[in-house]
Amino acid sequence: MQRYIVSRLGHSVILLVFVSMLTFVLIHAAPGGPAILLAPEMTGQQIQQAEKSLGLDEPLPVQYVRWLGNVARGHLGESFGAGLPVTQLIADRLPATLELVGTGLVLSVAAGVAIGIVSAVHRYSIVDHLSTGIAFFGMSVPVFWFGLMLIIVFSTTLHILPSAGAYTLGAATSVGDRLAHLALPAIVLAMANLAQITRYTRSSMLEVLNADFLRTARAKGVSGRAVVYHHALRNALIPIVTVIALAIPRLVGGVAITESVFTWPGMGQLAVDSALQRDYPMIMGITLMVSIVVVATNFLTDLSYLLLDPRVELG
Amino acid sequence: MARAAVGRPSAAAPFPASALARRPSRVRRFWRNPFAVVSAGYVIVMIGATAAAPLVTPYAPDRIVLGQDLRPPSAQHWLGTDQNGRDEFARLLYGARISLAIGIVAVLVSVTLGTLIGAAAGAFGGLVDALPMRLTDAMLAIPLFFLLLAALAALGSTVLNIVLVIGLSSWMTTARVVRSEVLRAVNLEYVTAARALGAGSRRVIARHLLPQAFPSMLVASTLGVGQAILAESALSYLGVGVQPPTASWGNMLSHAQNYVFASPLLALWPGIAILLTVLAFNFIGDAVRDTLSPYQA
Amino acid sequence: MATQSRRGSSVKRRGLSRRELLLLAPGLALAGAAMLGRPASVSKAAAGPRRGGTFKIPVTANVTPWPPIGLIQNLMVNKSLFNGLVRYSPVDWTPQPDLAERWEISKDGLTWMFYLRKGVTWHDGRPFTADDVKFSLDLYADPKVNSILQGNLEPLSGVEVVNPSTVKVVTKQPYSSFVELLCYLTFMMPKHLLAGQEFNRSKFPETFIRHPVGTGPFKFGEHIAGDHFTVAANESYHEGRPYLDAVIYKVVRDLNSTVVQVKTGELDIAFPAVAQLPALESASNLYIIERGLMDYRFFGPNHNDPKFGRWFRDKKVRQAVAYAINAKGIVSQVTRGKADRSNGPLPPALKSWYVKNAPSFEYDPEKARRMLAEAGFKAGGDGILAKDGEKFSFPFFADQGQPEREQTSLIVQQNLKDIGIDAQFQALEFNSFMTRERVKKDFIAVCFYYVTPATPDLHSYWQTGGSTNEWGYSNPEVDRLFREGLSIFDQEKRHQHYRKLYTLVAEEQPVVYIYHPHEIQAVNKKIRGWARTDYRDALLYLNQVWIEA
Repeated sequence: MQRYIVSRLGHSVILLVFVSMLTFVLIHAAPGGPAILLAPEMTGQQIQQAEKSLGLDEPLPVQYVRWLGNVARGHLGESFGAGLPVTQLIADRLPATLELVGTGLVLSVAAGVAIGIVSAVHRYSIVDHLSTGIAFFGMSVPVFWFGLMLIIVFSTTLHILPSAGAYTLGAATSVGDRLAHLALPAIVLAMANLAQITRYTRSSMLEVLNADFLRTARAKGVSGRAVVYHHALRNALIPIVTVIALAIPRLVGGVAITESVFTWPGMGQLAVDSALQRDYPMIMGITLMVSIVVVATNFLTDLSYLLLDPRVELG
Repeated sequence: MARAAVGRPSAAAPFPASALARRPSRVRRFWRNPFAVVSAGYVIVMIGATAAAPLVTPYAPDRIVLGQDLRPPSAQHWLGTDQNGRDEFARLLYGARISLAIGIVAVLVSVTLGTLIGAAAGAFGGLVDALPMRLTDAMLAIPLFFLLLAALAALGSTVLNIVLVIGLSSWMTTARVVRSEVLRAVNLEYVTAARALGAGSRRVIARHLLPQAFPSMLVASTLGVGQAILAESALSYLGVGVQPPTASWGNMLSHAQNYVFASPLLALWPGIAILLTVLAFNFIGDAVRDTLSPYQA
Repeated sequence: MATQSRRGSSVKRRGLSRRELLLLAPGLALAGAAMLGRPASVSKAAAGPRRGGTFKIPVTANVTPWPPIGLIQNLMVNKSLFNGLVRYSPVDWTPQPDLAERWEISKDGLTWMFYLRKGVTWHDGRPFTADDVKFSLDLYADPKVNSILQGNLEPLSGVEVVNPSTVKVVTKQPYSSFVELLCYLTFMMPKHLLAGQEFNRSKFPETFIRHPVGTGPFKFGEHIAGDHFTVAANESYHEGRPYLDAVIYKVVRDLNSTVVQVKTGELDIAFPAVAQLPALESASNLYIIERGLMDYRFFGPNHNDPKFGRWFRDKKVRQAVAYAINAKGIVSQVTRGKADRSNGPLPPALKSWYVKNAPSFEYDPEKARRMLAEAGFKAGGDGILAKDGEKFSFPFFADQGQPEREQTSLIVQQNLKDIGIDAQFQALEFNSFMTRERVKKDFIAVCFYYVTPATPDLHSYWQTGGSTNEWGYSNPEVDRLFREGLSIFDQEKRHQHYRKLYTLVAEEQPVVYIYHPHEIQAVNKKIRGWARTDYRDALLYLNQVWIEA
């Protein structure tokens, strides 16, 4: 077990270095520097000088090694746009994103699992068809359009829910106010993943429901509900863990657009802005953070398989 | 990496050779699925209308008419006009060309790449397996969309770049699926027999292993088109996709957002177009998967 | 200076009995006195400015309060925290005293003396002195700092502290526009906090950004990165404590959201685009105001382009292109009339310098075709003009994401196509656009805009080799006129001189000047004292803003 963990850690570090190298090369791929340099009033000469002061005219390997060295020492550099340390900016925005992603995850998993189970148990019923419909809708709708439509309906027209931000500025923060602001973005975020989770739960429940050992249990007289909840669910949980693990990078990717549409002050918006403005230290910092999260999640889920499923062995 | 001794459900549902042997009745099953049929019809009609766009609509998608902007739907303009007085329906139709083309070509790129890599990895093993699979892990660990954004911002948003960027970032699932198919197939009796008879690797791969993977490729392709169209629209929405004045559903949507107060319907049409098209491809892909899968889903 | 169209302003008079009048007289008198300073404001109740309240204003991106950068969201905040030596008048953009009470120019035109206001303190209590002025000007002029003001300060040969409240500035050559340029974003920075530190374009003094210190009417309150930036009233401001208690700069990146929020009252002001006005038509709690702006929008061909440069250098070709472009049509369609047709870089809003009767080229495609034919262009079989075997066909760029610019470019494209010039519009992402247009000068034509300081001395744009003359325009007569203008200090003579210059520039059309947009403001009716000028300059007078109960 210990050897497994150590080897996985080693693999993860190599993975992270590789990912950072890939990202680095990608963003430096073409000339045209960061937006901080490009105020409309600046002259061409000033822009070039600014690039030089950022060390952007040095060869790529040199720049990358310098960045790597800084990371090893715990410095992720300063954002071009804000002049403040990358770590601080990420730390400032992280809680808002965690709040949103967490809520979205909980919503989509809770709703998805529930709908999936019901659909599996009552196959081909109205609920089943409805859930399939919602699942497909969630898979096929462009996230930003869905968010925009929700804003137009609930905010601009009906004035029930706020359209932007995490809380109303100037007013005292109340739980109700925060929840109201959280509602629409969380729903939009959850929608995209609802599909996958619902269908996965459904198919894995079906698989398990038909499995031999359950027929045995039923033959022995165990009640239907006990069958479902005790035997089927536990075995069906394993792929759900997979699904959550798969959902996390998707949520992280989806949160960028959702935060943009709802002007949610989180990391997703920071990421989109950094990418568009070519704020290199910011992009590298965010990529690193997110990759660490994803790699850690993968590691944890694989670990949980070892614990949950006795059939799995170390390969 | 922990491997399950018993097959655990994963993205790669196994398709035994028996599925192919019973193909005729399966195909009939496809046509019995009403969603799949309607979707297939929709896709055919859309591709036809798009290709024959000049015959369907008299308007050019880029003809500006001063003073005719932001008109609501009417007999002359079925879906109204946009902020420059251009006919919205015409723009949707011509925009479909771009969005569909990007979707289909990007999928071709990703499925081809994924298949080649996955087949080689499964068939040869060793370093040819380990390296690409590590790369796959790496790419699935990165916040990909974010990098697509950065890449396009850096490289410039030509249609070619968009296709390449989307295609090169979605080969991983296909590679994994094909690889596991090939791994399974490698152990089949007739493959072993073929190799015993002296068939070369390439022949074995092409004639015996790849066909096993074909069903998965098909599913991946149809589902992939939907994903690619969504990706293009998201990129265009953020401003690094198809650039104006060329119309694509994504950038039409992003423009419509500026005029949401003057003409809210403008934001509706491209969104519905994307939704219906992606839905259609998803239904088709799902039906294909059902058709070829031995499980009752 | 600016056209104003106000919605919903009306003064209701109720009939009052004599007794009521007598009772109310003192109150009415006070109200009347208070209203004298605001001729067109609405006052339902009596009383003048009252203390208190928060003014909520949107910014489009996270703020970094570091003046040398000059990004738009930063300068909005900087204007409440800092002062300059001088500032633009809200009436006609002429230089007014700010931290400098008065200034003098020597007979030879090379030495300026600035007499500073006494009793001004920094937010941390330390006194503001001439040392700070020298420090700030040297800072902006330092090439390492790479501030956008560097060009404005380049003609300076030295800044000297004469005594704690007098500064002497010596220029290498006569520089008559100096004070006008000094009004533009030249904020005074505290020497005692920043001296000795290293900073450049990309490295900012962290402690200062986290807690900026200035002399302005407001001091730093709170900064939640990406969400809002709050400033609080400076009790010891040298013009007296501002009426407002605080100003909140709320980060709202989406223009639609600002419109929604100004309607619901979450914001007190918004700057809508023309496209968003329909949403504000029915808002009874807002004034919709238009203000003039130092902004000109143009179609700029590259005079140095290897292939087409020789054609663009021909004045007749440029004038033909000017005739071909339907500027009035663009003004009515793209801006719904909320703009002025342009004949040069100076807008009508700049009343003292605008040249009203300069040559202008009204839409006349027939004339355009004739002029091009006379210049030797012949239409080929495909309708595209050609000369010397070269087709007049080229791509032109604009920065993407700007609806008005895109609409303008599309109309320009169509207009040019109609006379046989095949100009293909391509939107480029902003970074790429700036790199090609500004750094590499790798473009054939662009459709773009410039916001300039309120001065007629715009030589960097139109003089040969000017630092922002990326279209490579070169005319010795224009060069001479700009050079000479700098030595003229008598205002009457200056007016005549620059009138001559800009008449020539209008005739020359180095770029095709299309329009000067008006700025549209949606202001909550409770907000009073908001200066009647574009928001960038109105922000300099935030201390006079108050909120009605």
